[in-house]
Amino acid sequence: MVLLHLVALLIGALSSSDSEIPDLGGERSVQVAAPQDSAGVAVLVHGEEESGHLDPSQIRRIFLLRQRFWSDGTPVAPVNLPAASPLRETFSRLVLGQSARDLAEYWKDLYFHGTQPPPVLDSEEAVLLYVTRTRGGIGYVSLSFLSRVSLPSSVRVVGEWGGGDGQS
Amino acid sequence: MPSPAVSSPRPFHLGGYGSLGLGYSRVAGEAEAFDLTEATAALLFSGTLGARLSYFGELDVASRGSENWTGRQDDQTLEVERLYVEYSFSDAFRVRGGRFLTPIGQWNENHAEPLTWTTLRPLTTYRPFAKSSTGLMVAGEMTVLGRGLGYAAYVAPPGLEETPSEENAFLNAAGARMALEVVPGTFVGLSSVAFKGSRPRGVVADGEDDFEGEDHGEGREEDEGERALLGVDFLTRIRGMEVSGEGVWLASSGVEPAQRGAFLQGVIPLGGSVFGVVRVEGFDAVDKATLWTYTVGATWRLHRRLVLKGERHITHRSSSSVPDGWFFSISSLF
Repeated sequence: MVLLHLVALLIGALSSSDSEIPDLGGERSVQVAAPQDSAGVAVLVHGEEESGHLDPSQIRRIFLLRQRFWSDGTPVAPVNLPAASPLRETFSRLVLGQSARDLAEYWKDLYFHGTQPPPVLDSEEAVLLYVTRTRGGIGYVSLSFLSRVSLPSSVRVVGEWGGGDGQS
Repeated sequence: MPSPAVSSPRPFHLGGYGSLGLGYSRVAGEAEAFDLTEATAALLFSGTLGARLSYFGELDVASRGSENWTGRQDDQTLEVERLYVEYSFSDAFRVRGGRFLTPIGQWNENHAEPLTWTTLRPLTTYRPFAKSSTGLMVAGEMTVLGRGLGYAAYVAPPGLEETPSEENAFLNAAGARMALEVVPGTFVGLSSVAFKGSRPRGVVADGEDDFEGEDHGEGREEDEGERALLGVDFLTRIRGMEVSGEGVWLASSGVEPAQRGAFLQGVIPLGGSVFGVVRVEGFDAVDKATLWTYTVGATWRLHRRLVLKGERHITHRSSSSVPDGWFFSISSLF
């Protein structure tokens, strides 16, 4: 029975989908390129959600899935960049107030309660498209990316951090 | 935060965890021996239906060669550890009905082997209360003075609990827990519960229980009086380090003596995916001298889903539930 259990453990560990399981590997979760000093991040929301500026504590609650509804009752739909993205580390540090490594522990605990982290999109272009099309959507892009694109009318910027000026 | 909401992008999600524990320990003067302490596997299933309605279940299969829960020894069990539905009226108000983990301290609600830093669990986190409750809960999270505050309040009415044969259970209970995130990654919590309990015969008198390695008899006995528990806890995580602690104080109007216990645990990264763990715990059945337990170990997260642990557990009064020896485990989250 013990041998069967051990085999099942190994098969289970090595076969399930990577994207759903928080990384248990501690420091390996932050083996990413260091963010550039000039890196800044902007948070975008679908235009119908909330009004004005969102403070960091509210954005933190949203991305940690502690706030799951906008004030009008619409479900919040946050989206992340990949764990290895330097912009994600910048966002974690500047806006969420914790490193990706420390947040990995948080997601690991929540997985045990039936909660998976926000879905991941591969690029800033994909994040912009997602927020444009998704009611309740919220995501983040770099300030440099933001300066290069023309935002559709359904997307609003609700906060900017970094870029040498801190929050703006 | 207490009893977090289920939040899944899909109507059905299947996961789980499993663990194998091995001990080389000595109990009550016996010779040291290798022992398969525990083999567990748990299936987790959950989903969110239409954003506000969700469900969660956990089915556990366990085989234990040594006691880890009060009264459990040499048993094989299949049990529903959690099974509940939940409706979210808002972020600040959710209603949960069914069987859920009792929200006392942080460890009990996050006790899965791959999530914890040590193979053995502090007595403080399970000995004085039932690990699961069956009843109704309201819970939620809000912002107070810019800080996150979570709460959970619950009742476990008489008659709903099918008392498992070999561990503590609530006959009826009413309790609450709240936790405040003081700064990002740092939480302080307060728990309380009033209850009447049931436990296996042989461990009724806490001061006389298996700290001395006594055999357990058959059947259960019920607490004769109302009991009240108060708990405090904290957790802080920064730069890969973690410091946590919990304390409980249990008062009784019946024949059982009061209990109190507390532990302090520190975790530091040693390099790569290896972490060092130290813990000290004092547990006091009041009519006996405080039982001190010291734990020094290491946890290696060798794969994104595989965790290896090894620890030296030192106590001056060993028993099946508080052994003195070496313990190792491998666990997986899947």
